[in-house]
Amino acid sequence: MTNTKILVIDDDEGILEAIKAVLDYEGYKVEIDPTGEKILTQPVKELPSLILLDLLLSGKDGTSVISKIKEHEHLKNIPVIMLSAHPTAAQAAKEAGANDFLAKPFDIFELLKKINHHLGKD
Amino acid sequence: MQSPNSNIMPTSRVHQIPTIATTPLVNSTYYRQVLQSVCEMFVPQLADYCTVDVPNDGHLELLAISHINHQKILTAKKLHYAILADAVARHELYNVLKTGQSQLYPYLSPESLQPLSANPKIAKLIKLNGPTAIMIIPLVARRKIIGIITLVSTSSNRMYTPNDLQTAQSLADRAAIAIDNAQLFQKSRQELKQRRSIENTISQLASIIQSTDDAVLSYKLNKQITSWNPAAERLYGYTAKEAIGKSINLIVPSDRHEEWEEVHEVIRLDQGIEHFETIRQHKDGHLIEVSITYSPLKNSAGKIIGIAALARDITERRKLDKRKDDFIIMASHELKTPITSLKVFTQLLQNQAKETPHLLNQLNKMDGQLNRLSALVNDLLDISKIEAGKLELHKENFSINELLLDTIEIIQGITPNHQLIYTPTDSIQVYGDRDRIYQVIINLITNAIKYSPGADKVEIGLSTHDNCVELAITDHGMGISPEHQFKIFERFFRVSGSSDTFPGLGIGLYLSSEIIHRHGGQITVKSHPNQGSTFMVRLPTK
Repeated sequence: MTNTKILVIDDDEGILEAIKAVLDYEGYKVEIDPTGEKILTQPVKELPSLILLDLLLSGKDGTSVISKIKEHEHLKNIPVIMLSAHPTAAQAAKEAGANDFLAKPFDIFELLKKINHHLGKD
Repeated sequence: MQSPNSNIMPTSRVHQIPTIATTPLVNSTYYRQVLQSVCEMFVPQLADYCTVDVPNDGHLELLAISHINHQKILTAKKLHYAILADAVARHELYNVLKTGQSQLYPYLSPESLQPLSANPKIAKLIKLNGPTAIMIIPLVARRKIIGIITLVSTSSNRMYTPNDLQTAQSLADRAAIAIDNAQLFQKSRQELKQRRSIENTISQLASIIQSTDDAVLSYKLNKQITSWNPAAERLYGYTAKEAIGKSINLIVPSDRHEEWEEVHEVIRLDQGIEHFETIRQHKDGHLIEVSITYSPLKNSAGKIIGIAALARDITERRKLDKRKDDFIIMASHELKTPITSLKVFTQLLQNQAKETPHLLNQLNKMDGQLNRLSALVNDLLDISKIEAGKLELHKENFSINELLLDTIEIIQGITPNHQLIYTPTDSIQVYGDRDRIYQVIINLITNAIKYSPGADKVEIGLSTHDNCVELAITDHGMGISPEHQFKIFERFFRVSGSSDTFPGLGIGLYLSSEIIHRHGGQITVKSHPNQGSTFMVRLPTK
């Protein structure tokens, strides 16, 4: 078991529950944030090791969240994997500063592989 | 009528053989009336009955007949028609038409009529009509033979003399002038009518152009504007007075000049351009999205002297299209979100059911169906992108045979009943969108499997032909009937009745064909019902 914390930013409850279930099963500590606002004011010691971010959040563009993260002194080095239902959004995600991209619907093994990779576990 | 004997006394009136007139106005009532009056002029003074034939398209046509005895008109007509229809009997009539020389048969004995009587129908009609003497005279006006007149003497036992022929000829000459004048008069009347009808058409067209909602304008090859309708005034903001005489550059934004020159080049080659979507500039400077149909304007000699342009404002349509595209993108996003969630839970369950084979088996099937659902949503998204012209290709150099091998391996893994037969070739590099080509290969191979449920193999071949690579996928299934072969690449086309047996949206082949065309390639099919189909994809290698 690990105490690695992963933050999931997505506004869809179904997705949040599903990802949480996978990550729980894999033994990660999961934190969820439907808006992506919470992390910006979080104490440094409570910061996650990795962020899963939906590209399209209701009311705002996921790319605006990532630019805030990547501009933030304490957050900029946290790897961000962007998720999107648009299979061709990979380019937009990379341009916005994401470390990786995964198209929805995804294979959980693919997700876990990418998470492990960015956590330096592969 | 055949020359019966030495009675023939051809009389030459003209030194030079006149030519046969072109098709006269056989349908004009006035012209027919004149011919009828000519006929009546000869009866009963010079003939018991008289006919006038005119050349029409190389054939003689009976246009007027007059008979001393009205009750006998029909019988006389029948005889004349029978003669005209008989290749031997009509010889004399055509000979007069050809030579312009009159023929005189002063007295017809029953023996002299023998050759005509070879045709029993004519023989019978001769008996009924009882001709005793005949004169055939050409009607000549302005050196043209405009018809021939046949004067027949019957029971009156009148014999024709050379004097009679002379009288008849001089009457015929005058008649010919009258007929010719009637023709001239009629022709000029027709021309006038035609001109009026053309003028009417022009004025109707003009009012259509004046009232249409589409901007209609024209300009010379030197770009000078020559016409400008009210819709053009509304669309571009310039009045006709302001626009006519100016250069078309008035409404072409500066960054579109090059494009305009290209369009111009195409039209110079005498080709129209339909629904060309571009940008034009309003008088107040704002840009307008328009769809323009161009066509070359020619002078009477067929030389291109200008260009006509019909433009329509498509700003509203574009807005609607965008709304529709946005909707499809949103809808597919919304559909994919629950699929993602379902797929995650399914896979979690699969992981936990590893020790319970029957559960695992069911969950595997569920996962497969979720993949299918996801692929269908992707197809819908692709369609809306193609419709909006937004299907982007990310081209790179890649090895098509490696891609083919990978794809075959993946599909073979989930295909229990068909063997995919493929002999690997040397590496062939293709410049294209790897993911999209992959999508096409998947589509063609899965179709081949899907539509050949009774077969046990699908053959795949890859070959190179100068600067292009050809992929052939052959199944041994139900095949496609010839009338359907043209349609299978159309959007939403499904072979009727197949929806129960083979579910799907009917867009796989449409997508494949669009993807291949966007690569500058071709996709074709050869098929025989109940034997199978071969789909061929040709892709340029560079």
